[in-house]
Amino acid sequence: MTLLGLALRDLRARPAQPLLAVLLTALAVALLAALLSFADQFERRMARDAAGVDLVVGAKGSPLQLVLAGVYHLDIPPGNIPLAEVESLRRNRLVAEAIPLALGDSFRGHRIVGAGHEYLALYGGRLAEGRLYEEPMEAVLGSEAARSTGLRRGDRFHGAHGLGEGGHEHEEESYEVTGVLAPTGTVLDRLILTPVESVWWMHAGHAEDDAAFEASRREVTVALVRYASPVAVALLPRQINAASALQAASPAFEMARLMTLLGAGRDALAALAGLLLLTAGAALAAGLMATLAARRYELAVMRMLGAGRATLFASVLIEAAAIGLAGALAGLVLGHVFLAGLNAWLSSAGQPLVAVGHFAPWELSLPVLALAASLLAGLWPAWQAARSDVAAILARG
Amino acid sequence: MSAPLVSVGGFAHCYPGAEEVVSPDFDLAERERLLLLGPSGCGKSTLLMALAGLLAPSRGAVCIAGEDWRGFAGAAADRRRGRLIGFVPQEPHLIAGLSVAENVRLAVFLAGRPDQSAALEETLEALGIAQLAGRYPHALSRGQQQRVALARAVANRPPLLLADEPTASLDDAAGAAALDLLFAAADRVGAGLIVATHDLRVQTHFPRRVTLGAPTTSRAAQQRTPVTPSPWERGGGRAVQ
Repeated sequence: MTLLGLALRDLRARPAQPLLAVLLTALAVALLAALLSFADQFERRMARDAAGVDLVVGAKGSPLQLVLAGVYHLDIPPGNIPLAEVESLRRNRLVAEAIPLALGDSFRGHRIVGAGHEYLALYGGRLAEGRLYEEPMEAVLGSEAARSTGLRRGDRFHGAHGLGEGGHEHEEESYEVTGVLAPTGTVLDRLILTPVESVWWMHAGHAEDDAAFEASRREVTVALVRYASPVAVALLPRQINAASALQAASPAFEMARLMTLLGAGRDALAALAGLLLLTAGAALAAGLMATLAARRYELAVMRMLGAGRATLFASVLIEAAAIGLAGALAGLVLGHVFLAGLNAWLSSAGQPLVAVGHFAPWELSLPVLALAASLLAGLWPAWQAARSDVAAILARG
Repeated sequence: MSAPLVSVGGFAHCYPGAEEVVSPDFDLAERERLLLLGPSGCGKSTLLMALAGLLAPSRGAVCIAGEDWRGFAGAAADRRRGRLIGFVPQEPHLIAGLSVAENVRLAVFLAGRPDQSAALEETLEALGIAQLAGRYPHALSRGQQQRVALARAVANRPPLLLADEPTASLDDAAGAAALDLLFAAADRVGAGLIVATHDLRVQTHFPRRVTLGAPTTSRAAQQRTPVTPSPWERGGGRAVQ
């Protein structure tokens, strides 16, 4: 028999009030856990996908849209740019590397990206099976794209026009899968990769004459630029934006801007979770006080049996701590169940954004937070229990 | 041991805003039985609490085993109470979340003593509740609950057993049985026994009686009247036989 055992038995004997406090604590912790895990994964993923890309160059339009389309493959690109512009970019001494991408088609929600092998190298993409694409109309699938479409090496598929699902299929031409990539944990996993020439080929197919084919041939959608020197940070974007029909957008800057916008929502949710935790603490204190009223004779008898004031104080605090910890653990589970639900919902739109069971570093401090809150809430009831007048209670029967 | 188990001298206690209660002086030897008589509100429970060291009287000395409770404070007093006093409250007040055996074991735990299952078994056996060991208080009859409360009180083999109104609300036969059980339990552990009651039926079972009067005024108390004759007790009160 221990004080902890005693506290747990008492909680079990009068479960209603403690359960309410556990539930409220769990909700607060779940909200915080989901928030932290989601934000952490989101930021990591965003940072990983943009690693090695200093600048996105594309058609004029919204810079955020350009970054979302060119780096994260989440938005529609603002338009196309002449390949000649990319070639001249490559000759710029401030540019270490410029990777052109040709977008426009998709297969079952997965974007078909026309790009050279250097695009795979950018994300450390390695083959899990088969070989890389060499000829137009050959394709390599990202791991997630392969898993969700079920395509294997040697299979053929028709690309669909447009980046969403339901675009009309290019039935006259089909891609051949030459390989599947190993998972990289980046945007690459969701993509289907093919030579730039495939995309030109597909869209030239609509054009009747060679001139149109040639015009199409010379266009790409975006170019991903890596700076040659730190000086480029100050010079290159201004140079591009001022001197050409192109637009340059910095993924780091645009994502920081986006995070600031999302940050307000995140802070509001965190404040809500804090309020919930406060409510949980109040419910815990009220519950313990109500329990104490019912337990006053039991506690008096414990004093009569030799328990000191400190023992009663500790036993009430232990109950509070047990409630807080139970709430925190239930909350962590609940939070990740919620994320799993969110994941299933987002996956159905072809965009699995969160991994279930990913614990953000901060998240593991949530049980400590809940414990501290519950101990704080338990102080007053514990004090009441310790200072109760045992003689008066027992003398009255 | 030369000192008596219990020694009460010049006891008087005054709750704020209430009349003072006084007790005649009395001693109790080891294994002796004593009846504390008096009408409701005369201070029997107050005296029991003082004997258990849970209440410091306004005046007078309450000594157990030769030592005044005033010499002990805080945790030391709590430990001493756990070791020396067994208390049977009027209502059983068992811990709802614990089984019968655990309720009895709780007394051993809170007194800071090593847990001895054999002794626990014996105690339950002696009180005829061994077969109820795994049951929870809500599943027991009132009589069974009172046996468990008694087992809890004697679990640490205390030298002094205090009982508050053990026969109240019981009929003659049940009251006599309850008293027999109390005597048997006290004898088994060799404890002295003080029973506080307003139930005159139990008088004949006790060789010694101390009668507390109705609440007196402070002035009367200051005269340290050892015995306050009470119209409630026919034949008048005598402190110690």
